[in-house]
Amino acid sequence: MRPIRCFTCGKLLGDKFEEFDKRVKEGQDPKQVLDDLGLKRYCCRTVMLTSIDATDEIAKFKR
Amino acid sequence: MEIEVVKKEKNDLTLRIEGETHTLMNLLCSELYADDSVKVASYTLEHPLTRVVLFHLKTAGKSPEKALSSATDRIVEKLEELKKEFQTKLKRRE
Amino acid sequence: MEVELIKHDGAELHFILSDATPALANTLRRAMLEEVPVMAIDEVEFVRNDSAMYDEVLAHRLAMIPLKTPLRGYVFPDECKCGTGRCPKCSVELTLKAEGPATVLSGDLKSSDEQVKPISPSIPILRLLDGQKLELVAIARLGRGKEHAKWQTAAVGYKYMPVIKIDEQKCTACGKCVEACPRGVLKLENKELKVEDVLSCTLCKACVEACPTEAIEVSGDPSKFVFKVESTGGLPPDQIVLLAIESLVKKFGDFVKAVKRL
Repeated sequence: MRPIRCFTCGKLLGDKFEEFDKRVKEGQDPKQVLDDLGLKRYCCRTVMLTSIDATDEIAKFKR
Repeated sequence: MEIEVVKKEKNDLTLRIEGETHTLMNLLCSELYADDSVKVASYTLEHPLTRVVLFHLKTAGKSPEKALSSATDRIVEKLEELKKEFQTKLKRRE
Repeated sequence: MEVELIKHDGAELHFILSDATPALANTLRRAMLEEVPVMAIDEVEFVRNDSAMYDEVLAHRLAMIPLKTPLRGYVFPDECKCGTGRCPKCSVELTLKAEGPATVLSGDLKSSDEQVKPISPSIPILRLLDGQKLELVAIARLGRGKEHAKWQTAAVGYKYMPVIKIDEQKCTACGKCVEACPRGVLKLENKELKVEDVLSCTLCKACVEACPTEAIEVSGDPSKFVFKVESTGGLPPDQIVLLAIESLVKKFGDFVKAVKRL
């Protein structure tokens, strides 16, 4: 799953991924989307840009 | 906060303080230097992760304990002043 | 000591603290980061977890969810008379029951106290496949940022108040500094160099380097600080500052008492 908070500063990011993913998929510039979401620091921006959701692949397997 | 006396002489005091870090010590030491009778006020962290501080205080003409308590009183006074100032500015904003 | 509020909304508070010392500014910053009490999930009891996510990982994810905290509504578990950390004065129970296929959101957490709940109902916790079930009881308690980052209420930073001096006799109004500044602090107005927005200046001194006639001088005022407090949402930022000052007063009070006992 995607992280809930920024690893570095602790800002809440969990509820922003849905909008971010949707808008980037539509072809919007990630920079603009991040600005609109109010993420100013590069720590939060990095987390948004680089985290990958692999839940669906992993969920098939047993613990 | 647990304090243990490592060394105690007339003008020389070394304390080992458990459970504190820069948050307490930095302001305390800088405030102690405002007192002319304080010759040395310094601290070291035993380890960055353990929250154990070795605090060293040397004075001349005043007991270290007295210098400590008056410095702390000054800090508390300043903090109370800051709090009041902050509250009035917040109220004015509302 | 003087405080000037620049920006104050529900999430952020910017203020200028003047007539202070670097030691005080840093102590205030540290206190806001590590001493302000806020609620966070501290213990999780799993009844059932069929998902691919391990209990520990899920518990950690739950802990990271920022919770709204009523001001002075709760006591610390180690200061509570109950001694167990499970009574309604020092803890809040959040129950979660879900069945797949679904994405479990923070809004699915049912709190025993309406005032203590996730600040956003749309934080994804985990995804359940068809037929997978999840049932758990999470216990939220008051804690401090120094113990774990989940109890950190705010991102706090400060800088020295920027002081930009322009020597009008040396300045040729060439505009190179205006171009060099990444923050748009400087501006040319009728062939005269003006400081447009001092607070945005980060003291990077790009303008000083760009100036061919050495007309600009940039420095920080070590008695004046620009503070930025950004709350994670658990507490309003102005209360974070006040609680931090209170915790410092208590800290120094405790210290002087302990010294007198020696």
